Amino acid sequence: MSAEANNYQHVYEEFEAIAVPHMDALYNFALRMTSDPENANDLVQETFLRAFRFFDKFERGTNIKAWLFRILKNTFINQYRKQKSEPGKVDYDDVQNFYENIKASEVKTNHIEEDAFSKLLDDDLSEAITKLPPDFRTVIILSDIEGFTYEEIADFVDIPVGTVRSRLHRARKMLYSKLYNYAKSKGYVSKQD
Amino acid sequence: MKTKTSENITAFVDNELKNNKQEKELSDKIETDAELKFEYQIQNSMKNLLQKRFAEQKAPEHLRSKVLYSIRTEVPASRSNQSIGIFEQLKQLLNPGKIQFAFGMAIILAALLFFSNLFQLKNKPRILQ
Repeated sequence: MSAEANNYQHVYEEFEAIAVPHMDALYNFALRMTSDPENANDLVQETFLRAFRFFDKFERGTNIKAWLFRILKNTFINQYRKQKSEPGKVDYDDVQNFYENIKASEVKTNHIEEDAFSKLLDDDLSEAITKLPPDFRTVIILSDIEGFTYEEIADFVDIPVGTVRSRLHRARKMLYSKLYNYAKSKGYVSKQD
Repeated sequence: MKTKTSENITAFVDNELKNNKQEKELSDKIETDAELKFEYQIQNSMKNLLQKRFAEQKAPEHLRSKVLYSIRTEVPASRSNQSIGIFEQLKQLLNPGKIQFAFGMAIILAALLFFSNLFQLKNKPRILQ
């Protein structure tokens, strides 16, 4: 075997040993971002291909999981940009409208307990997550489904910790608003409440 | 000010407030302020709901194989021909671009041969009988 082929084999083995074990976490993230197993498969495959192509750029000893998540997030955003005209721009007025949508005085606190939402199907929940703007969707998935800390999320998404907290705060409120409306439309929450 | 307090509630729910005094103050505020309590309940219920309903799923086995295969066949330039299998060498030989090139060259050569023969025939001295 030539020196070049030997080197390739070494790079491949290193990549397989340190990057491939994170596939489950990446797949879960991709699945929640896309809400479609086929798209999630494509996204994960593309992420690993890109990661392998640029593996020489990865700084050894740093967090490879964060590096892989960054590649996946950027790949997703690029694909999303191709589909939508102005996806990068989050409409903060819409976000504000969500805030105004639901007020404490309108809702009995027992409806905030999960009972009101426990009847919702997983599909309803997935759809509500998918409808969140990508920036907000990313942080809520990483925090509440993947269980990452603010610092880890900040590292993955390349934003300050304060922005993580702020986006997470808004994302949960938006999600609550959507789920509350779903539950209401399906009669799980009585109208007079 | 209220927004900052609301966002601190998110950090409180996630156990991300690094200051015990701040935690205690916020906890007291949540108990006494209906609006803040509502904020707390929203943040807490959404976090619990997602944690409960979305257990981690394993990546499908076919995806794992596909990824490993695509990485193995990636950057072929860095691999010597010795290290790749006969099947892949055959695949490289049967590359559509290469076939078209070879076909084009064959046509050009045939045309050259044809015209050179024609030229020779034309210029051949006639034998007088």
